[in-house]
Amino acid sequence: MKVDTEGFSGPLDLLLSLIEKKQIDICEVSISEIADDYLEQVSAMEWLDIDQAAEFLIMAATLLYIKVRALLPADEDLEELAAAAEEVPDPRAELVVRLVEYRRYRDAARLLRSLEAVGSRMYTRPPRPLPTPTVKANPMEGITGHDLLQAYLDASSSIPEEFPYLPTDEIPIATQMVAVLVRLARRGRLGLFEFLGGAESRHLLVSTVLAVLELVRRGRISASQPAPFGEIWMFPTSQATGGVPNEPA
Amino acid sequence: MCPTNPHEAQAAVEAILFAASFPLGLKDIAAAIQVDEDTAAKLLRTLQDRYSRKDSGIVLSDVDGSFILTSRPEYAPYIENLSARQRPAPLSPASIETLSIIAYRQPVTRGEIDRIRGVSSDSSIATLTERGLIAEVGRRNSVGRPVLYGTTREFLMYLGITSLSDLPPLPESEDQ
Repeated sequence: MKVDTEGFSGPLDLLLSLIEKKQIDICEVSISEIADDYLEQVSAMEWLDIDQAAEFLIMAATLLYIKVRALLPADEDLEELAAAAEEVPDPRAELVVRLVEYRRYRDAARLLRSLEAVGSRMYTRPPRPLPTPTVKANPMEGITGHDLLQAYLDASSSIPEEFPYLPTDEIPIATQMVAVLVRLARRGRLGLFEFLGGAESRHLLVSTVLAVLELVRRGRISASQPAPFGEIWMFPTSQATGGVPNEPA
Repeated sequence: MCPTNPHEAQAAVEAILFAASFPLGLKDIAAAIQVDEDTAAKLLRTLQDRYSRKDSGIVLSDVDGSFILTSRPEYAPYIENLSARQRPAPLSPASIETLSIIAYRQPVTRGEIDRIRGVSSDSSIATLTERGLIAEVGRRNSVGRPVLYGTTREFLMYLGITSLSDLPPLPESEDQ
């Protein structure tokens, strides 16, 4: 997006530069004369930004208004009447005040420009992060190969060696959810491995694990495992005191 | 670890200033080398004197009470010859005008800036904020609670000055 129109930062900037080109004092300036220069410049500009165009055009309208007022024959009675009626501020005086105020900051900007030329070229080292103490806790800390082997052995020993027949009965997850909740209600805390230890079949194992997951998902129980490969403890949550679950969602 | 003699302390200050590429406060420097702030200030002054000699390519700049090593401005062109560095694009006329209003009138609202400039300053404020030269510093307790803008420490570094009191005085309105 083009920000500056023809190098002017705004209508006041353009107006001020036209006044300065004529080497006249702001307070003495003939707005009528400047208005023509301004309109000429503005009509030669290429408008890329409609908002900015509007700002330049509002200034054009103000200048024209001042010019027209100056051209009209002075009717003092009428002027007094108008002034008394609505306290109309003098648009020319208003514009002069704005120009004077604007010029202070435009000139200040020129001073900053010369500081910028020096300061912005005082280079620092490119920022590279210093070493930061972001030590992430290693979840496998202290675990040895022996522990892994033991974990495997524990896991494989808890699986029944063989199934005499293909189980046809599916154990509904809801049943196991009830079983878990009932045991928890009685004991307040339940170890998952301990609870699974009593399962006679793979099917029962699967539905019990699914039941536990479902209960955790629903927020009925919470589960935590204080150490890797350790016991997973289940606790009833406060809302788990309600009824028994229906079919899992 | 703490330095055992003044020379080591001096070298330690230099080392941490070199390693940090952002301005370090007196407190941080004192804490890092385990001396009190008065001692740290003294060490910094000695270092600053050493760097202010003309034969050094580095200056120790004081940015509002924080310290950073920067290259000496005279040698900027050589640094810019390095392919990695490019001469920074100066701010646009609209942006530097907006910056000057914020610098001299802070804290100031968008409305006041627009009124002085006679144009909308939205894109300039966005650019200056993005470059870290200005920041929102609060809200005015008036209708709509408009955001107030002020300059940042980055602004001081950008102009190579120590504090806002180093800004050139705002030109007087000679016609009044």
